[in-house]
Amino acid sequence: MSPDASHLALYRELLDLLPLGACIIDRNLEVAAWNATLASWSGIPVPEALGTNLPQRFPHLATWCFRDRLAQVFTSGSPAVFSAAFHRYFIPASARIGSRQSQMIQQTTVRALDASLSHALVVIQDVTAQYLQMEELRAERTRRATPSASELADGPCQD
Amino acid sequence: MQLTRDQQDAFTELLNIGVGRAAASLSELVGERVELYAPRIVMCSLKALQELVAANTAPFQTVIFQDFAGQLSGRAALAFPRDAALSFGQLLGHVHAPATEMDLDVNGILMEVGNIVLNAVLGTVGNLADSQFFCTVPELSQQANVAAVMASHVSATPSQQPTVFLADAQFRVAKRNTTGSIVILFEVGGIHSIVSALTTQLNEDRGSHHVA
Repeated sequence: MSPDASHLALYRELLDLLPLGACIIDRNLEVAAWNATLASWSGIPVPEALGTNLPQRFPHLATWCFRDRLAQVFTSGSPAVFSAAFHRYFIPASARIGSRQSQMIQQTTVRALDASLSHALVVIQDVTAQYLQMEELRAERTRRATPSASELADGPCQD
Repeated sequence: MQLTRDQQDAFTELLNIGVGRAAASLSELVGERVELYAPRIVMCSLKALQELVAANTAPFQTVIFQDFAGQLSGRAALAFPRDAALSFGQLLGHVHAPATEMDLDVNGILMEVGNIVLNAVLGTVGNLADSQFFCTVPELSQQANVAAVMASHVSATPSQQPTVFLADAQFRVAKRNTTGSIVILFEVGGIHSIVSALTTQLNEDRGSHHVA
């Protein structure tokens, strides 16, 4: 049974409690719920977001790598994972740490809300901090693996 | 219960149609040709899988799995030996920095690859059995081998020994081969649906050949 208006109202209240970005979309990829965290991240207030067609608002979601896999959620009930490694973000938002000009890096899952497959829940995790740490760690490893010019000039240590 | 040779061939062919679609998706995602092939699917008991995994020198300890429930219920997994998973993830993600542990990038890549492959596999199973089921979001486990991950889905006192379908998943990217394993565990009754559907499919194929 598809969620009715009272169900959606309850979902909206519950989603507002999450420290994650979350929205509910229907089969036409129109927004049925948009939580406070996602409103804050995206700068799109809840009233403005409701009824928005996501691919029209965010054209990258109309590309095949999002479109076909989102469609699959509604046809077969299979969830979709959009990793930060391949996609960087699902809903564009400014990073909350580091440079404000940089993009928030997101890990996103989309799953059918229930067996009716009429709506899907999109949950977005901000992984920017973890990515910045990972990139620093990789840079440090590369620095340690590559001897500096002075180290090369000094030669190996003598005991 | 065992699959006949014809049933094995039929299921293998169907599975490869499904994973072929997954390979096409992966190729577009990664930006280079990804080939994915499951040479043969076999049926065995969960106990036999546990013995097989125990005997393997490279334990398949990087496991991406999804549970499914509905007319058919169970767990599907894509598993790799740890080192193969690490290098495969780095290859797909064009990660050049040296690394010996699974970082956020590689974890995310493996989760998404696993999700694409398992959705294709479960789609094949669903089409074959003409049934719909609800899947959970995939999880990545690196703490236990694939047999243990599958066993954890089974109730403490199963009424009969669970049965699994097992297939090698051979990936080829940039001239490098990586072999993983696809494992599908059905709760009691599910296997019978699949075998029955395979029998029906084979009979239909034979019937159409007769008419021709």
